Amino acid sequence: MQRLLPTLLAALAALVAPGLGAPRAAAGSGEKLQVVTTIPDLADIVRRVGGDEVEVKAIARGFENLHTVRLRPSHMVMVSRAKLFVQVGLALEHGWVPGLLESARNSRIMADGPLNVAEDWPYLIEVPLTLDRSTGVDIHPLGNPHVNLDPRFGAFAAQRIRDRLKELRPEAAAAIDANCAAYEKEIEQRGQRWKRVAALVKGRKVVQYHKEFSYLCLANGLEMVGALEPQPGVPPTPRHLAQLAKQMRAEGVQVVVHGPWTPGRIAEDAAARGGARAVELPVMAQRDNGETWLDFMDRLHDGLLAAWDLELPPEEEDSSR
Amino acid sequence: MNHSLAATAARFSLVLASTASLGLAQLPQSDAPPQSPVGLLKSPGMPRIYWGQTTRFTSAWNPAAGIAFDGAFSWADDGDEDGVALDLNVAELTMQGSISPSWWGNFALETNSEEVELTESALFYMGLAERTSFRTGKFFIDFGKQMQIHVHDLMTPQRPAVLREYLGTEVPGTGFQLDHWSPIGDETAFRFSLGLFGEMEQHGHGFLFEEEGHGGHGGHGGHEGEGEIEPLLEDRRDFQDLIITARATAMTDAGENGILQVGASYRGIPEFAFEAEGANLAGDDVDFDADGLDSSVFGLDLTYGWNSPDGTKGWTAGAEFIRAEGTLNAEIVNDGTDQVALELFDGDAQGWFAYADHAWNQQNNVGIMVSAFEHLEDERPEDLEYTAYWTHFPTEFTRVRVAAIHMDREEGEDAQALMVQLTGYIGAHGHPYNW
Repeated sequence: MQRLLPTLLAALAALVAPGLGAPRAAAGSGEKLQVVTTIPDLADIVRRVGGDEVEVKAIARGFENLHTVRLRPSHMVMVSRAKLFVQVGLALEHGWVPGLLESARNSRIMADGPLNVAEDWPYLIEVPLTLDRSTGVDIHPLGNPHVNLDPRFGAFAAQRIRDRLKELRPEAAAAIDANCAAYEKEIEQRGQRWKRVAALVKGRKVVQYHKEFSYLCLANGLEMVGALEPQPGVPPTPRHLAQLAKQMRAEGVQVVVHGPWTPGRIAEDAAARGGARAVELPVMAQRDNGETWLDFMDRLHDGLLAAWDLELPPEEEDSSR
Repeated sequence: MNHSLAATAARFSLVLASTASLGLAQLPQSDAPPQSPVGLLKSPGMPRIYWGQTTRFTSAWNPAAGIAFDGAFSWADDGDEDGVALDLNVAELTMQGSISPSWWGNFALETNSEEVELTESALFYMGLAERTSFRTGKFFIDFGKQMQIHVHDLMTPQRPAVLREYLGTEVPGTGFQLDHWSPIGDETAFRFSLGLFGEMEQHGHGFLFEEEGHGGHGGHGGHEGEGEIEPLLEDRRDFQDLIITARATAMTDAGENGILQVGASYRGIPEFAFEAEGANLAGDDVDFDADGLDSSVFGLDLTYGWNSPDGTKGWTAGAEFIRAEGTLNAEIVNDGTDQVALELFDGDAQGWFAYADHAWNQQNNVGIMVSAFEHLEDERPEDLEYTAYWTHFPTEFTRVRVAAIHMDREEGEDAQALMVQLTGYIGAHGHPYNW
C-alpha cells in the first residue's frame, strides 16, 4: 500500500489537472454570458434585459423559504461556470449564498462579488433599530429584504441588471438598453391591473405568518395587524397565538397570509381561532414552469382578490391584460 | 517498515506536481472580498445546525467570534456502574476571518471544564487555481463524511462507535492539505483532498461509556493491566514517515430533490512506536517499547439526502465501511511467570455504521444509527451500538436532543444510556467543513 498510494494519487492529480483552466478558456466573445440568479424572478428579468446576450439559470424553484434554500451539486457546478451571479441582497439570501459561492470557488465571482440588485432599494421598511438576538432570530440588519413582492421591484431590478450587463457586454449596450426600456413599458402596462386590485383590497386587515408580504401589503394598502411568528425566525408560540387570536377578533382580521414553505396547518389553526381564513400566497416566481415575474405578480394579486372573494370588473380586466 | 528512497521521491514529487498543476501561475490579482476558503454548502449528513445565519456574521475588520455550549444530562449503565451525570461536554470559542483577499484563518479552543484544548488553528490560501484551496496548521482530518465535524455539531448524539474505535472521537492533525473540486457534467461535483501531517491527536469528550483502546499521538494505543501504553511519533522523521490522509468523493443530483454522495478515504501512519511503563509480578519497573510500526485505515461512504421542494422536510441516509490494517493495538501481558511483555495486535479489523434521519419540519428531526465493529484485539470481539434520537431546534441557535443508546457487547456486559443534550450558539459558529 505504501507504494501503491502515491501512484494512485498521482494518477488522480493528473486526471483532474487538465480541466483546471476550462472555465476561463470558455469565456471567449460571441458566447452567451452565463448568469446564475438566486430566484426565478431575477432570472426572468435578466432574460428580458439581456436578451440573446445571456443564458440564465435560477437556483430556487419557487416554493422555498428564501432564507434557507437547499443547495445541490448542480448549483455548485453552474456557479463555478458563471460570469455573473445575481441575488436580491439585503441579506435575503445570506443563509446560503455565501456558502454556495465559497464552495463553487469561482474566482471571477468572488472577485467581482454578486450583483445585489436591491442594494440601494429606496423603500426599505422594518429596519431594526438595534441588532440584538433578544429581539428576534431572523435578523436582517438592512431591513425587510422581501422586496421582490413589491410591484416596483421589476423595473428597479431591471435597471440594475441593465447597468451590470452593459459593463460586461459593452458591445451590446444598445440592445440591452432597448430591452430594458421595453420591459419597463410592459411592467407599466401590466401594473395598471395591480393598481386596480390595490384599490379593491385597500384598508383591509391582514396577519402574516412570516413578515415576507410586508411590501405587498404596503403596496396594496393592506393594514398589517401582526404576524404568527412572535419575532422573525421564531416559530409561533401558544401564548403569542392566543394573544394574536384575541387581537384578530377584536380588529376584525379576515385573512392570514402565509408562504408555501410555512406550515399551513398552523396558519389555518391560528386563522380559525382568530375568526379568519388562511390563504397561501406565492413568494416568488416558479422556475420549472417558466413563470415570469410579471405572471407571478398577476398570480400574487389574484391571490389577494381570492383571499377576500373579490373580483375585478370584467371589462376593466380585459382592458388591462 | 522498509521505505525506499523511491517511495520518498514519489511522495515528494506528487506534492510538487499537484501543487504545480493546480495553477500557481493563475494567482488572482484582484480586490476580492473576504471569503472563507472551504465550502459551507451543506451536503447530506452534514450538521443540520448550519442552515442559515449560524455560520456567518458580517465583520468588517475584526474576526467573527462565537461561543458554543454543549451539555448533557444523562443516565448510563455500562455494566460496571450506573447512575446519572450532568456534564458540560464542551464550551468552544471560535474565531475566523480574512487576512487578505487570498488568506483566511480560523481558530477553535475547547474546554470540558477539566482541560483546555486547541482543536483548530489553521490558515487557508485560496490563490491557487479555480476551485482549489490549501490549508496549513491544525485542523480536523478529512476522512469520510464525519471526521471533519466536531462532536457537538454532529447530526447524531455521538461519533459512531466504529469511528471512535479506529480513528478517535475527534482527530485534529497538524500539517497541510490540498483540496480541489471539479465539475463532471452539469450535475456532479468531484472533490479530492490530500493531506500530510506531522502530528495527529485523538481526543474526545462526551462519551457515555468508558471505552478502551484510545491513546494519544498516532491514534493508537490502549491500556491493560498495570502499564499505560503510549503510542509515539518521533518529533522529526523522514518525509515518507509523515501521516497521510486522502479523500476522493463525488456528489450528484439524484432526481429533482435528492443528492447522492459516494466517497473513499484513507489515513496512513507509516511510522510510529508503542512505549509503556509497567511492573512485572515481582514488582520491578519494566519499560516496554516496539517501534517501526505502521497502520492504515480505509473508508468507503455512501450518503443520500432528499428534501421536499420547499426544503422544510427531508430524509438522509448514510453508511460507511471502515477497515483498519497494520499494528492496531498493544497490551501488556504475562505468561504466568514473573515475565511480562508487550503484545502487539498486528492484523486487520473492520466495522461499519449506518443511519437514517427524518426531518418533518425545520425544527424537528428523528433518527437512528447502528454501528458495528471488531475490537482491536486478537479475538476481535464485536460490539454493536444502537442509537435513536430526536432533535429539536427551538431556534436556529439552540438545539435540544433526546437520545437512547444501547451497546451490545460480545465480551462483557451490555451498556445503555439515556441523554438529554442542550446546545447553544452565541455569535458566529463556523467550522471549515467541506463536503
